Amino acid sequence: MNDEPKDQEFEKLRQLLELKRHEVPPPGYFEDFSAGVIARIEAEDARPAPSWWRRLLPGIDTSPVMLGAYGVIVGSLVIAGVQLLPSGTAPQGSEGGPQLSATETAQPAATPEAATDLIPETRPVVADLGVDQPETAPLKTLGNEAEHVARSAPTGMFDPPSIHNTSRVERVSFPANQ
Amino acid sequence: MSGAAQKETSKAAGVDKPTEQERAEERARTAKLVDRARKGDLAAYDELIRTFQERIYATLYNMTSNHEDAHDLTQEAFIKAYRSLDSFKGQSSFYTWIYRIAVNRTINFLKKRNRRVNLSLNDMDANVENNPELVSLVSDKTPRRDANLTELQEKLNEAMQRLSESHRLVVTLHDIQGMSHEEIGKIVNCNTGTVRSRLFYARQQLQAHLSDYLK
Repeated sequence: MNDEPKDQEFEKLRQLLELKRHEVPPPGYFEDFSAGVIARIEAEDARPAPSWWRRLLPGIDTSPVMLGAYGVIVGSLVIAGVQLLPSGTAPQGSEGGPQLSATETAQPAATPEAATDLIPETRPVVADLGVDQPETAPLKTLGNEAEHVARSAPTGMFDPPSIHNTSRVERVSFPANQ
Repeated sequence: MSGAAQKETSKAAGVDKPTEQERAEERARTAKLVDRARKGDLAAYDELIRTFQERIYATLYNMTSNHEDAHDLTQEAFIKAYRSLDSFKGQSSFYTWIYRIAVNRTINFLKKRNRRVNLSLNDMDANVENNPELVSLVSDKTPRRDANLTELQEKLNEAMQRLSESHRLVVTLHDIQGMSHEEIGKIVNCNTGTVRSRLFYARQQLQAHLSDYLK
């Protein structure tokens, strides 16, 4: 492509643009320029590396929206964790230690009659195992606790569904362990 | 203008047209410096900066018409290039590669700057008084007899800033920096036809804006 005619058309403009070549920074400007760049590079290198959580959350400082979003996520995780915690600590089909026995007997003890009904059910089991341990102490405690619960709250008011379920499973599986 | 004077003028503006042998030598030298800089040798990178700083600065200055902006952008371009040296595969010359970094950052900067243009112009060097073409253009050929170099400089920069970034870039690289269409195409990442058409359009625009000084 021949640029000659076009270049001639713009010859005066080209001469005018030459003026721009004479615009130069102050004398000595370029002597120190590279030193400034190197100093900035070294300063950046000397700066301590950001902590892992800062690298993970890059926008937390600058964006309130990001901060709010992270807050909601963390809060949701905490709430979900708290809600899942009881069912996680009471595994199904466990041997039913003292803590589970307490739960089991406390739950139906919403009425005093129910609490006493449970006692004959658990007493022979312990006796059959031949365990030499005081039988009355835990039962007495359970009985008192059941009475207290029965007096202070209506049936099932503070009992999460998981406790009912756990109790039922435990009751069914307990004889199978004999 | 004599050859020596022209070369002096070109050097002052960061425009120098070396021979093919000189280019090959510079490429080899640059490649060695890049290898050393990649390994963290800041002295080598210092040399690389010194090699290209005037050309990069001149381009960015003519793009922004602002010394402070050009200073910051040139520094940032060299820092960015240093951090990205590992990604430089040598498929293009280091010169083209660093030009791309500088130009892209500058275009992004100009887009954010919106239409607010704050000129901060450098002074003319002493050579301008010795350039008979320019002196005659100012004093004899323009209808504005009272126009002096400073006024003309301001009008010229204002006209440049009226162009779009892509058109201003092509005029800067070709008509001020003296690059070829091919070199510009590599930097801007387009073919030479596009470069030529952009150049033609940009010149037309400039001619319209500066018509009082070009009659």
